Amino acid sequence: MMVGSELEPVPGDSAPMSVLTTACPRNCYSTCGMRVHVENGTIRRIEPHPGNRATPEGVCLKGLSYVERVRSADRILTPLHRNPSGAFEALSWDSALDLIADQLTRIRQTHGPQSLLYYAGSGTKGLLNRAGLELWRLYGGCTTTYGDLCWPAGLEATRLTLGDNRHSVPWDIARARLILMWGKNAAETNIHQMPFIQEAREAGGRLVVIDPRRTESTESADLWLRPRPGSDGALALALAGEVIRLGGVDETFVREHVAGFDEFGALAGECSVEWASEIAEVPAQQIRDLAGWIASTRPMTITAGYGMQRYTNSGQTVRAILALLAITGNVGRPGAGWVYANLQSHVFDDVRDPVACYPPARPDGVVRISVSTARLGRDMLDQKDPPLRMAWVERGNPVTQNPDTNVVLEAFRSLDFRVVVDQFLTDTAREADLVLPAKTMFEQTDVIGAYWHPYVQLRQKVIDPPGEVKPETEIYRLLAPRLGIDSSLLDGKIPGPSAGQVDAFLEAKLGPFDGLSLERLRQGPALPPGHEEIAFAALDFPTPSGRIELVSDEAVERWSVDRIPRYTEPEESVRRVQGRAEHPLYLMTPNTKNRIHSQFGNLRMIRRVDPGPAVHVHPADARQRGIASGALVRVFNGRGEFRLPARLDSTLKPGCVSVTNGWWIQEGGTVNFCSPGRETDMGHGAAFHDTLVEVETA
Amino acid sequence: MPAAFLFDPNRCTGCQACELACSIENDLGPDRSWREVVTFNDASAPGIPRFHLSLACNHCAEPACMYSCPALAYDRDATSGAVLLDPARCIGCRYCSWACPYGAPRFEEESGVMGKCTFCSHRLGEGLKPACATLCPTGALDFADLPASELGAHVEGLPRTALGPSIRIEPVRRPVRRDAGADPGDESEFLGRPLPTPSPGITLRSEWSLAAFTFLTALLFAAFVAATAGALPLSPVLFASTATVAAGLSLSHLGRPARAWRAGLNIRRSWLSREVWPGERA
Repeated sequence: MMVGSELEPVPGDSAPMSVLTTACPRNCYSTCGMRVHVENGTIRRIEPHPGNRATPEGVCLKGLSYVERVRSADRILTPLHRNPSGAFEALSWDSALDLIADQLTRIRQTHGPQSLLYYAGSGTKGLLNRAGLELWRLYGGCTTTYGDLCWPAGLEATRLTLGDNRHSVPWDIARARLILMWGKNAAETNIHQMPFIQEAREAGGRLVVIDPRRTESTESADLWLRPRPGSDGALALALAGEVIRLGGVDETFVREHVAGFDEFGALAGECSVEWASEIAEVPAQQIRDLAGWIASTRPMTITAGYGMQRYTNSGQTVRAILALLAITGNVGRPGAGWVYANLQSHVFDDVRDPVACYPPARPDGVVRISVSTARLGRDMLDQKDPPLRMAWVERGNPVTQNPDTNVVLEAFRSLDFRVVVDQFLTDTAREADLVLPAKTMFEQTDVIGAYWHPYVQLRQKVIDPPGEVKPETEIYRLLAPRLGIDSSLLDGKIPGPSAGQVDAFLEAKLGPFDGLSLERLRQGPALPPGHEEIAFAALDFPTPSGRIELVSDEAVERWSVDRIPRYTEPEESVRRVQGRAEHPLYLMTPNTKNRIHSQFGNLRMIRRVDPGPAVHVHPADARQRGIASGALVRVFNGRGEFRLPARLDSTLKPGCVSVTNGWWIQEGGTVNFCSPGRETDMGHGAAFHDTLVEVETA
Repeated sequence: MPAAFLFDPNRCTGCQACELACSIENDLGPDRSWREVVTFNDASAPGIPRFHLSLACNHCAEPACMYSCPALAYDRDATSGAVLLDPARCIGCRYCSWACPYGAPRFEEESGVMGKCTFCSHRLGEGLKPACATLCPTGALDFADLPASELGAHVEGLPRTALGPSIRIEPVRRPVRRDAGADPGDESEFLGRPLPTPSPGITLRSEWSLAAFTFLTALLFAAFVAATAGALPLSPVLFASTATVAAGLSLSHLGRPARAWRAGLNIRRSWLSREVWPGERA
């Protein structure tokens, strides 16, 4: 079957090649628009879609590697059932669905429907992802998670300060004269931002990178500050204090649009450069230089990463950083602003993140939202009335990607039955009793938003699923009658299996929005109605005071933190234990250009270019411990351990070790054996990076 | 009009999308690419910038690979200027890989012949740029026409040769940073430690059969001269069998021994061809 409408004969080829618009639905800033060339049901080429102004030049190497991913020899193509000896055997869909229905019916009778855990990760985006909860509601209910592994501390800090998570178009940063890339390595995680930053630099703008590691992004920086992990809040407060002393405050802007400046200013005034220099281990002169630039340069954009807000103090950190923009009037103007999360394309959400991921104030009694994503393992084990008996996992790999892997494994192994839907035998799939094959982004049409650029895009079906792969919506449709659910109840909630039914379903979702339709999206990315090119240009902030709030009573009520973003040490800090630390090294677990968390690393195209898993150790720390380059080392703390070869690396700040996250246990171990099941100070995020370890030769 | 790759190291982040673009466009499979991103200061020594160069075949005005090829397997495409290797004519002797200073032609074990970048000639014919230049996410790698007057010009950033590579490289403009030496402890880690040297392309281990062949040939020649002069009694059987071993060694070095006869085709330019014809040696 040939799908889609754009047929372009490609000169020189005998068979006509269809060229179709789609978009990459990974949990990634760039969410590239794509044009996919398909010939006889095979994807031949993947190119950028020029209609996405944020990603016009090219998709990244991961996007290109889809050519392999869709037809990888390792892909799961049939349901797999674990036999008594522990090996997986292919199973027919009928048998697989009967088996699942038996288990679901049994636990519903014995413990009630909430003894089912529905765990859905961020592995792929789309409106059809909602189908899962629709089915479980009809089943009678389930238990599911709140919070998010990724970014909620920063989202909540932004919501408390600016009122909403939106920012200017990605290319606006090219107009900035000063760019602070704070805790972000865009060159690897948001490569499409780099050309705009380069444009700003070529026009005379300056780039400052704040990161404990020397990265591909710090190479382009005019100034590079390397604070101790978790100390960014102190740095931000001292910068604010110094900017105020230097007379860098935009008095008019502050008077008209900022609430709480006096109280915040008094706090910042107490935070001297020397104080922050000692805490953050950054030379005082660098802090003064940067403060001087901030005080004297307009416009300034701060583009902040998500790693910096995965600490137990990081909501407050982000509030302090945001204050730097507020006091200098760098909000609502071209070239200025806060580039963190741009949810302008999330028009289909009734409630936007981060509030959408919070547990409801009044539970509906059907879906129990009681398991913190950050504490997944512990909370799963602690569920009572009813306890959890079964899990359904889709779009996620919680065994390697959620904190505290040992407890997550214990929790999954304590259940009676586990179903995992995935494309590959991940570490989570290997824990399953039944693995169901998952579609790829090319095998079912869906509509996706983004969180850096503002476009709504069509993730279009371009090929049929291989083997016996069925999209989740079809799996639910087939499961429903086996659970005694009348199929008429599914209408409007879960689309039917044909491409036409999926299209009709999506068209109905797009209907209420001006300018959005399937026909329009097939041409390319579209801007959502009401889109602001320069965010907050009207200087109208949806906060309680209508202004940017540097003090927040809601922060006190909801999160029990200071109303002003006072600095506190993170939970696991070498300064809390002053030289007596059993585990004295910060474990940094950054992302790499070669993967999105635990995806892509299994592909041969990616393996060819990846140096492989390793623990990066600063030479000084390695010498102290007698660790030789290449030696197998044990990384450990009270929660767990993993073993990988050591790589000596002077790009690290001494006292830090670094392992890119997303390695599978099968490949040498996930970093999350050592991370804590602990929430961030606000937003129900996961404080992954609040992790101290020790390293020794294994 | 001749064309060239344009490369801006200030925009390149070393992402390697160009390598994958090449693998996919040319159907090389997941384990192979004709393009390679080379990193300078890969060890990130403090105080020295780190940057990248994306390299494939530079389709030189004076292609050393083509001139050195004994089997006349190389041709230049008249329209695009691409230096093309015909795998059906290649004997897999690897001589071109020794001649090319950019590491472009590479021996491919599966097919027993060399492989290298084609400038995506099939795309140029369609009015498209090569896949790597089309798909570079940062615009660091591009492709454009070159004024004929610039053919053969020296390329800043590459070693001075007479090859005239079809690539132009922007000067590196990494910022001179005020934070240099922020951690003086770092510097000491690098003092006295030699920077890693690239591994040599040709080693005794990789070319042992060729070394043995050369040694035996010299030995046979000396024995023949000595025997002719009456200084050495020479057993014809021993001589013939040693010569057979030598010939076998020389053939075993080829990826495609059955095509060995092609080795003498390029007497006009290739020293390897000239070596094949004993008459040429004089």
